[in-house]
Amino acid sequence: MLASGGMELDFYIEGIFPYRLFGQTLWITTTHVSLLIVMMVMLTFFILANRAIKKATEVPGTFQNIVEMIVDGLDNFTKGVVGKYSPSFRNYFGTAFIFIWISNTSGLFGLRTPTGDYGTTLALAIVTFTLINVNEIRYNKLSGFCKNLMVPMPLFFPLNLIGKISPVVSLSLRLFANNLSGIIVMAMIYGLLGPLAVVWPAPLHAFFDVFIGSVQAFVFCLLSLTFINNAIVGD
Amino acid sequence: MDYNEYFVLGMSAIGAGLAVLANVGPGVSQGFAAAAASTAVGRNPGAVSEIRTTMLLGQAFTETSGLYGLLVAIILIIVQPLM
Repeated sequence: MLASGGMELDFYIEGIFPYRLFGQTLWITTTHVSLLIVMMVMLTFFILANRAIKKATEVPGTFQNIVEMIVDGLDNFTKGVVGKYSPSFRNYFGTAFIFIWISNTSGLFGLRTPTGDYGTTLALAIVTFTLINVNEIRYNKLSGFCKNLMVPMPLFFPLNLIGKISPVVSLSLRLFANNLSGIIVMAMIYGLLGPLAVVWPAPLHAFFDVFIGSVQAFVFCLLSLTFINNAIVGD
Repeated sequence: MDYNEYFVLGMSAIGAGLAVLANVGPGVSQGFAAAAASTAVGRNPGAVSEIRTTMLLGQAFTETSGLYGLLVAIILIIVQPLM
């Protein structure tokens, strides 16, 4: 296929072992393994952070300082977008930001980036979709929700319906494609140049994994919060 | 029969190259957004963080169409739906 001359590009998701569920053959893939590792890292960090905050001192130590900085930054970020509604969203979006950021940068440690799998990003986007619609109903009542589907007149109902679904597609594909492009470029460098790629890909890793990863984690949370804010306040 | 497959493969490659041309638009428009943001910072240096957030938001929106082109190219080359 792509491999002419015996060179293999190694960026595919590989199945590890199959299992059957409701008559379908499904696979445990490298994405699941990477997700588990990311989850372990997050859990370890959270437990350590919890312990540090429980024994919090007046003059914070190094670790407590870092944790306070992260939580404070994420809270302020949420508050900057949704304002007074931030208490109901900051927990989820703080966790989502940390999860996406660790997932995006996990390419540095040789994992198959979990967010480079469409399943992960689609799941995240569907959570956002649920949050948008549930909060629109919660703050504008069902009548307001139905009225928003009929603006400016009932003829526009199909267009508004598409407008409801398009955030899922665009959010998930944006995160997925950004990570996939980074993975493919790195796989090309390592697969096609082989022994020549020794030290100089480090800046590329810094760009594709750390910079693009951070920006996309930020953009995902920012766009989700903006959509939710628009749904609550009405645009 | 064999030659048909090669023809489709080559044409998919050309199509993938053309699909990636979709990235010209987002590139230009992201440049415009950055230019407008620099002008805004020059006029009002106090609002740097809000301007940066707004710029990132707009750039993320425009980036989407370019990414769709990239995805079409990747699907044409790797999945090969036309074969």
